[in-house]
Amino acid sequence: MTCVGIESTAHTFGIGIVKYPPFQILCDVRRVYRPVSGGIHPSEAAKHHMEKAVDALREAASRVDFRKIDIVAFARGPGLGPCLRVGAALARMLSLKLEKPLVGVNHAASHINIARVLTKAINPVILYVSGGNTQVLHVSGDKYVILGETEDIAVGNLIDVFARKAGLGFPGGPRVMELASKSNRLVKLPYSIKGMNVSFSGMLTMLERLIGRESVEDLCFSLQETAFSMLIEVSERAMAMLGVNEFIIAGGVGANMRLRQMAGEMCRERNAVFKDYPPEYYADNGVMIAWEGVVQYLLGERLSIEDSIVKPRWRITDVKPPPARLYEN
Amino acid sequence: MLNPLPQGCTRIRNLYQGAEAIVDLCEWMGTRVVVKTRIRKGYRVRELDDSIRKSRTLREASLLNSAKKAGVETPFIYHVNPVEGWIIMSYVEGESLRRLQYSSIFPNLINRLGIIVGRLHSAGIVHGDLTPANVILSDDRLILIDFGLGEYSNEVEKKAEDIYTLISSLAPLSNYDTLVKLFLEGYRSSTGESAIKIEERVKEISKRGRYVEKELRR
Repeated sequence: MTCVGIESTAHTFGIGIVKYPPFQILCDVRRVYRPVSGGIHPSEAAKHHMEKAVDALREAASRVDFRKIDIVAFARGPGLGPCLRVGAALARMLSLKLEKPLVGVNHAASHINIARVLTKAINPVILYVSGGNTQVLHVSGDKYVILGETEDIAVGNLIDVFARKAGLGFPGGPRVMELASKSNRLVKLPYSIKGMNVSFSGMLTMLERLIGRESVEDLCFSLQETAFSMLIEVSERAMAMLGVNEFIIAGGVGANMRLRQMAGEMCRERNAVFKDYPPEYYADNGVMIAWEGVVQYLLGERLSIEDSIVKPRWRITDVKPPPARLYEN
Repeated sequence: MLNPLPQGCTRIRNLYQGAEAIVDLCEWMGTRVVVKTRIRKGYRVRELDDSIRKSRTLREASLLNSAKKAGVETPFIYHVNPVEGWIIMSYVEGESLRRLQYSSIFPNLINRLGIIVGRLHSAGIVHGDLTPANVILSDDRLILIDFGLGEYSNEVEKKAEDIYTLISSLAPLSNYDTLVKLFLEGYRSSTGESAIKIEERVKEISKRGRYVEKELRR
């Protein structure tokens, strides 16, 4: 079967097409919104997506014959309402036009399942890190279980807000990573772990105060070392608690090389395996939505046009994960 | 993988190996002791790793001591080296409550544990990993061990989490309801008024449903 997936939860408008079985990526079109100043402005991002939608669709159609599409999937949430509605509208249109079933998928689950299909991880602890989310998860039977999460802001938000205040622009991740590599001087920042939860708001406040007093390279280095150590530590705790020896990272912050390097080191020290995959699939994309569309379709999910309202606050705990056998062999 | 031990210690056997620390039973100055060593983490830069292991080692030692002052029995600390990240403490001989959960005295022990946890919380100390595996019955005394995740806190949420952790570890037992009742009776008797708020929060936490069964932990 062939599934087209539409991503439009935040800054990226993406159209991806996958075929299964076996898993194969047929096309991956992305249009990324870059704010002129400040962070993501929801209605501006939505406008960007509307403007780019047709162009992106044309590009996808030039690569894949849309008459071969069997399923139309879209990211139904969580995300920014105005942005979600653009993707939803396009998906409804495609579903009606192609006369193919519509499937609304969860963005977080999509990140996790693209990671799993690319790595063949059977029973991993998952660190899901992006601009809006920071969670440590595990698939237990037919549920996603959140073992730990941020008690305030997401790690991607910490990076983006710091970067913006330090004049590094949006998104902050790539610039912070680049500047961090030029320093090895640690400025002491709050290291806040509570059980398997983390907290970043104290660190952000401290960083904001230090802008101008410490070099921006040192601050980037210290932010990365401190925040990522916290994330890897809670992930390791989850692995120890469950006796799990596979680890994957999902979500945009996973594109950071230093975070993945630390993940590899942690796993090596405990004889576990960090399963990595190409960095471009850590970022938001349509391919992961298409794959989650296949997964949910196989689980029997169908969405009627009338019920296809977006869900900006959709928690992953309300979503069914695929059975592990989908990722075996 | 064997970790280096403090000078003068001879390892008898490993007791526990967690994500953060290794606990060994050792011979030291002619007595049996427990050595808890916080492991170096290669993924953290050295400076950060040193400072984390140091502050946590000191905090744990301090909590063990403060608990004692609040009338809660804990192992005695013989020696601490925050730089190396180890604590040498007395070895508590006995059975963990986890091993006693099917015995006829278990309900009474749970009631006594309630009193002890109440004392701990009244002194502003939260254990952080309150499972029957961390309570040892030694010569009819109940001794609380492993304050590795503990902290000084008077937050209702933290205290409720302690209780929730314990209660959920009792869930598989057939006399669960009685045990919870006995535990809370004990807890109330040593905390008084403040127990009400904390118990309400425990109910709230159990409805959130994002906690996994914590008995998986050990």
